Formats: sequence, structure tokens, C-alpha cells
Amino acid sequence: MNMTSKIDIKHLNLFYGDKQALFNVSLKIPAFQTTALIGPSGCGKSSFLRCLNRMNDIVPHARMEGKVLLDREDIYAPSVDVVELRTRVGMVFQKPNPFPRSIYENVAYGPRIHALFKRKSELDEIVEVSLKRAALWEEIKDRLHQPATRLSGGQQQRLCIARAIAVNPEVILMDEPCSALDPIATAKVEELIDELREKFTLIIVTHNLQQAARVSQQTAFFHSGYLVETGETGALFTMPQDEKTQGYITGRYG
Amino acid sequence: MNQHIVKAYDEELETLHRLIHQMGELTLEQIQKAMDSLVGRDEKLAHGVIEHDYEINHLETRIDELSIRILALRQPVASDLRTVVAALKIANQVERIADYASNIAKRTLMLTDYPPSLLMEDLSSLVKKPTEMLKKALLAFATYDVNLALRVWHMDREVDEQYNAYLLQLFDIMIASPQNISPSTHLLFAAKNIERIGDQSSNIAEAVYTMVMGKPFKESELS
Amino acid sequence: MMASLSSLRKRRLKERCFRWAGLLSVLLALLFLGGILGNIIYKGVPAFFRTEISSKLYPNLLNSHARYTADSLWIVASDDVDMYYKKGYADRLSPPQIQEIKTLKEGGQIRLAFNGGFFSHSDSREPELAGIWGGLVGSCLTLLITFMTAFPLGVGTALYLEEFAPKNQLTHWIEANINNLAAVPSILFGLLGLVLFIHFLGLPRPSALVGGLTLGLMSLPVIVVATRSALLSVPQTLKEAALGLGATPLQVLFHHVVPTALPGIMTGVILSLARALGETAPLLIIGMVAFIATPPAHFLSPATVLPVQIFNWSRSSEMGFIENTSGAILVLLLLLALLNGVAVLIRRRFEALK
Repeated sequence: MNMTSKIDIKHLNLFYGDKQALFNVSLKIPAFQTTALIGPSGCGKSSFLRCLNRMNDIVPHARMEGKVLLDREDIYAPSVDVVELRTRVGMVFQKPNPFPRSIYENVAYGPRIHALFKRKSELDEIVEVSLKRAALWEEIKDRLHQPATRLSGGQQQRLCIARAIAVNPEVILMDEPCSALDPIATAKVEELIDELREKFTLIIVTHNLQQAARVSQQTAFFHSGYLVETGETGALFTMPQDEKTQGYITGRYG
Repeated sequence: MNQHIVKAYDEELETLHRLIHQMGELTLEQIQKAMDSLVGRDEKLAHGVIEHDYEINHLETRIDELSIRILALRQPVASDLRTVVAALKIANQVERIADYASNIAKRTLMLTDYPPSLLMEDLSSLVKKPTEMLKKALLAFATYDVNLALRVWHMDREVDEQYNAYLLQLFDIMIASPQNISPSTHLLFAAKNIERIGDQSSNIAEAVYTMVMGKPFKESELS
Repeated sequence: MMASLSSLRKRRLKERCFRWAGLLSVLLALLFLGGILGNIIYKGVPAFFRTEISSKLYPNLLNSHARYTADSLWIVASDDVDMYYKKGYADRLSPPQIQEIKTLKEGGQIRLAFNGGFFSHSDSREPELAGIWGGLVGSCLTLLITFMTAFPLGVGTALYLEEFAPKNQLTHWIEANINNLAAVPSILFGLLGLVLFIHFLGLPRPSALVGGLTLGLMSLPVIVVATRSALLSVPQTLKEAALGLGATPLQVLFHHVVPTALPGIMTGVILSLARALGETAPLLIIGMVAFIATPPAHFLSPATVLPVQIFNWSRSSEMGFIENTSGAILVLLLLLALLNGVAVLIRRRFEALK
């Protein structure tokens, strides 16, 4: 692939205590594309995702080796501020997890803590733009100040995406964002992911192979902590090079 | 290859292979009978061939339905996807070949009005190569044997050569006597059908190549 | 098919039996509760009324500038008269006295009136003059000290242990001990208070300060345990969401974790305060059992609390104090119900926000 890579992961090893979770993973994430991470449960794909915005920092006894370069800069360098990193690399989680506050306050939270605005009107604008980008604005513009927890699951997840893009990140990590959603809500989120690709670099962990095939341009297959195979999504799903990949995606695994 | 976790999926793919095999066997039989009827001037046998064509059409429909069902329900990827797509293509090509057999049988019905000729018997040797191609192409599909498929593809040139030689013979006869033009034209069509069996068989071989290699067949890539 | 039908019937029977047993036990519990409550109300309500006797005024002998709205004055009767008038208990009255009361009754010169003194007076040796004001003020001051010490200390400890402390042998050991402390008999906290605050720190003996500190010690583990479980119930996903947006751990704690856990924390705190409000044993140990006839003026002045006053009254032999005991219990129960009500209210309010 002849694209500029947004994130360059080099020889990443991850340990939880004595247990090694990732083995010598090297992967280039191309800018303004969606990269899907697939693999059986416990293969390390979520752990890998969490290395990219240092969410593993909060896990006790987690230790990592290797380099994660974001725009050629090592995010694990001592000079890097985790808080600043997480504004550049946002995250959307498996279960929709809106704060128990109003819809408006959910989106406004990131801009508030990072002081991204001077006047209230600017904040209003950030909230509106983010909700529009997350394709949620039309549905909820009349009830911005109602509790976010009253939204449906699919709306909540799109709210979480709006909340993540409100701080204007460069990369958005998604950890199985559709696993708790019905097919319609899933389709909406997938459509959204495709649109977000214009402005952001996306990395999505998914158990749904069809979803990976639909939304991503690059797919990486993880197995027992190893990155087994990575390639252009269409090629990987029609002609996988590795037998493990073939077994997993055709349902012959195990 | 390992079994699928879902057993029914494996069974469906096996059924697909079995149906293609059955269709191929039946088509080979049809070709043989059509040729026998032509050489033996057996109108009854020729009628039988024409009537039996519907069985092959029916098999093709079943393969189409099963393939669509697998695509819809199993959403196959990788080798499974390539198998199903190849099966769809091959069923279509085998059905065409069966049509050629039926066409040959129809020529038999026309040719019984004319006196027998040596050239009719020559046709039965002309059919040997295309029949072998079809057999081997289907075997290549069943065994995912890309080398066998390539050999089948190369055989097509010999079939063409034999066909051209036969044509020249027919022309000679037609030039010799205008009375021969009518029966020779029927023979020409029969020969053309036989040659098309070779072409379709090489198409099957190409489909097998794509199925195994995961990329489209390109003549220029062959060494 | 038949076999499965009969087994179904058996299972249904079992279920019905279980339901009836449950209903029965609830009814039994209600019966006991009703009995106790009824007894206390029956005995306690008369304490809110007192017997008064009209005494004639002498206008021409009194200051002529004074204005009198009536020509007689109602004066509190002695407890023996009170008992006789309320319940016909005449053991401690002589026949002439009884005759006199009867005469007064016929002349309308004896009556039952609302006993304001029960709420505004402090303790007294005379049951008819004794009131709960001193105990009430003492309880309030003590509870204030308890709240001010146990709440910040308890919540702070829980926050530190749950959110910041490294998870190692030492913190595990501390956690286990705190859990055990929550189950220690309260009287032991009294002993601890006695040694720590009175013998060691030399604080004045029966003061609200010492009582409050002692009860604070007692409430501390309960508050820590309640707060920690409230913090634990905050979903990890919420913290991750905030961290993922680039919030610092402190922001995560105070923007999300504490507000979400607050109803749980407040409920725990209020319930532990309610327990402290009703506590007697540790206060006996630190000397708050003394007879104190004036309400405490400040945190260091001698004080008693409502439950201790109840305890003292219950030991008195005079009939009047039996009434007072039940009356004071009623007031205490009312206060406890009020506190529990506040806890429920807080919980409801926060849940409505979600």
C-alpha cells in the first residue's frame, strides 16, 4: 500500500503481569482509511487497540515493549502527555456508554475539559457540528437537554461517536462499536464510519466479519497474540494467504 | 481442509460438488449417445438424447438455487466463496455442453435421409479429445487441481487443429459433388458443436484456475 | 406424559407451599412490629399530655397594674396525681388526697393539657417536669460532630482505597480490617473512645465532643464500606469513556465517579448516622450517662443524648418515667424515620436524573 501511514506500530509486545498478550506486532495504519482488526476472542485485538491511545496504562501490571509512532512520534515517549494523546486518538467502546447527563453535556464534555472554546456560542456550534457529523442531529435536535440515557442503543452509540469527534481527534478507535446494536442501528453506524473516513483515520475491532469486509479498506487478522495476516480487505476476504486466516473467516476455525 | 464448525454448511458444499459431478456424468453420457446415434443412424437413440436434455437443465437450476442459498445464508468468504462462484459458472457451461450434445442428436435426425459416409465415422474420433477435456476439467474442479486445469486448457489447441483438419475434408467433398453439400453441412454443424465442447471445457478449466488461485485467469500470465 | 403431569403438579404444590410460608412469616413479623409499636404508642402518647390543676388568683392582692385574662391559673399537678388522673393508679395517694381530686374534678378544676414541657424542659428528678430538650440538643450536637468527623474521613478513605491506592498485600489487609471493624460491637468503640479521647487526650468527660468523636469512630467503617460499594457500582465503562476523552484521573473521579456514586454514598452516610443517633452503649462507657439537668451550651459542656436519657428514665422506679420513656422513644423513632426518609428521598432524586 502506497499510502502515508498515520500510525506505525513496530515490534509491539504487550504483557499483563507474566502473561504475554501480544507478540512482536508490526502494523502500519494508513491515514484516512478504516482498518479492521479481526480474530477470535482473546486474540489480543482489543489489547492492541488499547495500546494505540494508552488505555492499557490504567491496567495494573500491564507492560509494553516496542514502538507506536503517531505521525512518526513515539506515543510512549516520556515527553508525551497521555491526556493530549487521547484528544488526538479518540475511542468508542463496545457498549454505548453515555454519561448520565444531557445529550448536550455529553458532547460538550470533551471540549469543556480541554477548553476548546471561548464563548458559549462556540460550544453550541461544536456540539451541533459533532452531532451532525455523527448523523444524530436531526433525530435529537429538539431534545438536546434530555438525559442521554433515554436514547435508544443505536442513538447512544452515535452519541458516543459524536462525543469522541467533538474534541476533533485525528484517529478514532472503535472497540466492537456495533456488538450491542440491532441490524438497522448497525447499518447506520457503518454508514457513519464510511463517512467519517474523509476526516479521520479509523481503526475498528469487530467480531462481525461481514462488517469488517463492508467498512474497512485494510484488515488485520490476529490470532493468540500474533498478527497473522494483514492486507487489503477485498483480497484478504477472497484469497487469504495464511491457513489460519482462511480457517477463521470461512468458519473452519478450531 | 478442516471441516466447518457448522456441519450443514459442509453438507451444502458437498451437495454442490455432487450435483456438478452428476451433471457432468449425465452430459458425458449424452455426448456419447448423441455420437452413437449419429454413427449408428439410430433415430430412436437421437430422440432419447433430445428428450433427456431437460434433466440436465433441471440439474443446472438446482445448482443455481443451492448456490444462491449458500450465498444468502452462509455468506461464504475465501475458498468457499470461490467454490460457489465457480460452481455457478461451471453449471452454466456444462448445461451449454449438454445443449451441444442435443444439437448433435438433432443433426442425426437430418442425416438419416442421406447415405452413410466415412466422414460420419470420423466424427466419433473427433469427439474423443473434447470429451476427455470435459472429464478432466470436472475432475480438476472436484480435486481443486490447478495443474490439471491448465493441461485441459492447453488441450483446446489440439481440438481446434483437429476441427480445422476435418473442415478441410468436408470442403473437399463438397467441392467434389454438389450433392454432398446438404449432408456435409449437417456434419459441419455437428463438428462445430463438438469443437464448442472443447471451448466450454477450457472455460471450465479457467473457472477452476480462478477458484484455486483466487485471481482471474490470464493467458499472458501462463509461462 | 402422565408422569410429567404429576411431577408438574408436585412442583406447583411446592411453589404454593413456599409462597404461603413466606406470607406467614411476613405476617408474623408484622404482628410483632405492630405489637411493639402499639405498646409504645399506647404508653408513650399520654406523656405528651399532663394533668393541670386550676388555682384561684387573688386580683385584689396582686399588682393592680397587671392585667389578667382569667381569674385562675393552671398549674402542673404532681406525678402521683397525674398517674391517678390518667390511669386511676392510686397507690401513692392518701384517701383524703383522692377525695380532694374528686372534688376538683367535679368543679372542673382539673384537666389534661398538652405537655409542652416534655419538649422544652431538660431532665429532672420529677417526671412531670422532665423533658427531652437536653437530650435532643445533646443528640444534635453529638451527631454534628459525628457527621463532621466520620463523613469526610470515611468518604476520603474509601475514595483513596478504591481509586488511588495500589492494590497490594497492605491495602488488602487494611480493607479486610475495615470490613471487620464494621461488625465490631459498638460498646468496644466506647472503650476506645474512653481511652483515646478522655484518658489520652484529656477531653472533658460527658461532652458532645467526646460522644460525637466516639460515634464517629463507630460510623467510620460503615461509611467506608458503604462508600466503597457505591464507588464499585460505578460502571467501568463510564470511567473509560471519560479517560478516552482525555480526562485526567482526578477529573474522572470528581466529574463522573463521585456524582454517580453520590446517592449510594449519601444513603450509607445517613443510615450510619441514624445508627449513631440511636446508639447508647458506647456513650455509657464514656460517661454520658450522668444526670444533666441543663441543655449543653456548647460542644464541651456536659451533655447527654436522647437514647441515654431513655435508658436513664427506663431505670427509674416512678410511674411517670415509664410514660416519659415511651414518649421519648416515640420521638427518637420519629427522628430515625425522618433520617431514613431523607435517605430514600435523596436516592429517588438522583435516580430520577439518570
